[in-house]
Amino acid sequence: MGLEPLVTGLTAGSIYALVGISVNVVYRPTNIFNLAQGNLVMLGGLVCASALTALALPWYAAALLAIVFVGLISFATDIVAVAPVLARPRGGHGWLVTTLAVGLIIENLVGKIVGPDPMRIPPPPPLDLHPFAFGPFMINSYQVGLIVIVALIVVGLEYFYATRTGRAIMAIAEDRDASLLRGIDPRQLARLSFFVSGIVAALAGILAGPIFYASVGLGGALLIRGFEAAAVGGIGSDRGAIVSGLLLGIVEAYAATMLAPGYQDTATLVFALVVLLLRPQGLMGRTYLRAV
Amino acid sequence: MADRISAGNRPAVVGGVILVLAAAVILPLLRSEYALYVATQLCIYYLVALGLNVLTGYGGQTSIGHGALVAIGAYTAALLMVDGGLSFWLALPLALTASALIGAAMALPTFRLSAWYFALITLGFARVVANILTEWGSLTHGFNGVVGVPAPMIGSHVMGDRDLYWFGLCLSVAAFLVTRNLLGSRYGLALRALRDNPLAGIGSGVSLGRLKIAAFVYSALLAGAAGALFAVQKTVITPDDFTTEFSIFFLLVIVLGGLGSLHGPLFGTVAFFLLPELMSGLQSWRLLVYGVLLLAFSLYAPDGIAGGVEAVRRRFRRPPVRAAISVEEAALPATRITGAALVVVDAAKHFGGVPALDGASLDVAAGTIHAIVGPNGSGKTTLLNVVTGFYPIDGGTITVDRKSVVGSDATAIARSGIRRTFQTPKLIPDLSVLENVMLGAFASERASLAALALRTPFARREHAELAAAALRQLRFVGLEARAEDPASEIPHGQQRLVEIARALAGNPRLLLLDEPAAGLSMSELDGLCALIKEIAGLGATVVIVEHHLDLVASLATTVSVLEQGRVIASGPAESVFADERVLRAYMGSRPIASREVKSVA
Repeated sequence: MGLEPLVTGLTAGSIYALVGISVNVVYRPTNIFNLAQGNLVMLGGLVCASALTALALPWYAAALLAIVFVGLISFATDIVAVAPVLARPRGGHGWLVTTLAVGLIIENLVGKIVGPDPMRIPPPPPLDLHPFAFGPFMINSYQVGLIVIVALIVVGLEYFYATRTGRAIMAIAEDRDASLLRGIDPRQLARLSFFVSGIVAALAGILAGPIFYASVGLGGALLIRGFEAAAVGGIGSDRGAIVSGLLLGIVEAYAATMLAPGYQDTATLVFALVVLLLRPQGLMGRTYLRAV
Repeated sequence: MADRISAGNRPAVVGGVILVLAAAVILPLLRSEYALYVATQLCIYYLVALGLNVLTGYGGQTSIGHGALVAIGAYTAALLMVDGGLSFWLALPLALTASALIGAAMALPTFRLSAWYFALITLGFARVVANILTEWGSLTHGFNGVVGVPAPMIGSHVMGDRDLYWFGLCLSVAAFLVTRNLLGSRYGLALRALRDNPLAGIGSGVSLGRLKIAAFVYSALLAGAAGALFAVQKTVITPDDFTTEFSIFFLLVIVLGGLGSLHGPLFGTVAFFLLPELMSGLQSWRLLVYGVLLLAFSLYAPDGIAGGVEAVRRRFRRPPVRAAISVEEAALPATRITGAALVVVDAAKHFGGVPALDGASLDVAAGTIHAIVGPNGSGKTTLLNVVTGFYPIDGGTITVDRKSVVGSDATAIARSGIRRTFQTPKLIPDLSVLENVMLGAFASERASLAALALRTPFARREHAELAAAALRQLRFVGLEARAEDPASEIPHGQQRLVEIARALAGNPRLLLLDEPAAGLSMSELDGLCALIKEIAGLGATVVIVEHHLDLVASLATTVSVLEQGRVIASGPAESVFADERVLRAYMGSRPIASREVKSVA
């Protein structure tokens, strides 16, 4: 058991953290887990890859296109599949089925258009995938850059949540009724959050491209990893998602080398279930009392 | 109640059952291999959908990975028969056990969490099962699958396709009957509480964790049985039989048929077997069509086909046949209750750093009416929540009849005869008023799960007695006439009374009412006042949190005044309300000033 899996694990883990964070962005103001999230991530990667090859756009332009596109699709998910269910007096958890349906529709439409073959996304210039020795590790500049980019995204989000709008979203997450009394419109903030979440999801998909390749099949796997990262970290806690995302990446990488690559899903699910059994609120989550 | 509803529509129900059974019997007579194959598959899929509907439709716990449980049943049966040489009749119960145990182990961590965690974990679980089926080749034969699953034998007779179909049909009918019986029992009521208003279930003594496990295990058992049947019908099973699509298929079947409707799974399964004929040209678009159908039905027809059928039937329905409950039974006098004494000493409860209760003490004698008053935010409802176990306490002691309740959960406290109502009435909208009240008797029903599943004479008699008792409670609160109306159609003031009736159905020694007068009209208020006196008259101890001071003054034997989490005065109403500290705390200095003005005048 070498240190090699540690590097692979941390790299993949930063992507999982990002997916978990994109889940949190929607969850905070709505208490909804968007089951189409994995496919939004996948869509981000594929739109970027297609823009790079078919439209021959420069890297950053292709990424921007993908980000805006997925942001809008996520926004539309709220309008079409989530808001109508929540507006119903007894919608309950109906959004689980509707967002699952949106995920299925995205996955199969994209599959029809792009086909099943994985597409490569190069790292953003000036980063590349040439390995170099760093102490005992063999790493490349993209792996270093990836961790920096993820950190920057989190810092960016924390700035967003420090703005007036962001604070309103945190207020809804904290106490929905009290924030309603202060004239905050949760519906509007939910729509905004879906858009922002789409942006983060697209970034996750684009950044996953150089490691995993972009393919239609990626959505399902990333949905589960995103869930595990968010739940293990504590739903709603971005810092928790980073820690647990990285942990999941490491668990997965060691499971792949010690058992077999096919047992990655098993290892991470067992890890997540054990954490939830011991700490239902997750590593950094907060316990909210039931409202009586 | 369920009996009475079905009594009203019995001809329609009987007609439907005869039609389905006739179709089921005629199908194999067609002597078409294909028809037989499809009919057997229909039974298999129906079994899975039936169980999933109990879990997801009635219990509100969405399982997106149910196909994995079918896979476990199928592989367990197939491997035991092919590699283990076991007979089908031994392999079948083992397959059921495997599905139930593995499923329960997976679902256990989610029972303290919100329902959506469960959905995602089932999804992750389905992926894991799919991986293991291919990876663990030494056990599962990997991609090749299990080949040559032998047909079940009865003695020396090898069951042919037709026998297998009959077996599947019998299994489906039996599963339907058991499911119907259970859904009509207290567990059916509790499941809908779990879905629509968990707090109502907890307050009635339902252990939600155990209920969730039971619902999940039940659906896993049906999935396991379906899986075993699947294996012997197909004789070859491979990992490709159990893809994500397989799980989504079952979810779609119950959404299409109608979530939480008894006949929904049947409608859904049948619709699904007509559908492929219509869209045979769209094979490669199937998952996309599934997605669109799931979305469209969830948005525009959340009650599915069963909802549509129900709407049509309601248009032609004869006036409901009333009262299967005999008037004599319902007219029996309410039972005497021995009230319990409540003693709270130095109760403390903090939220974050903010103390909600800061050493509150309370002494309520058995059989009295005790009112808790105090300004907003003084900790009244928190006190009620710690007594009933809805919040864990941070310090102090609480005893009921000298027995500590600290550390007991809300379910156990409710079961011990300590019942409450909520500030906002928590009724289950889909149930009738009577059924809502019957939920309150959940803990007093003695019939076992097996007795309820088989509807033994004892279970039926007890159910009828509890229905009569619930009707009696409704008469007691003056709502007998609305017994059969859906709770969702009851105005707010009456919802409070239904909730009181539900609490009374648990024969409470101690009844805690949280602002029962809020939002009531003047006439409703008089009724409430008389009602609470009558409840105390039966012997129960009543604790009432209330803002309405006139009500408190005319009702309460003793009054405690809370301010900032402490009791600042306690005693008979007249002396407490005359206490100047109380007046200042509760109403500011105004009343004192007005008294001075009065004395000057």
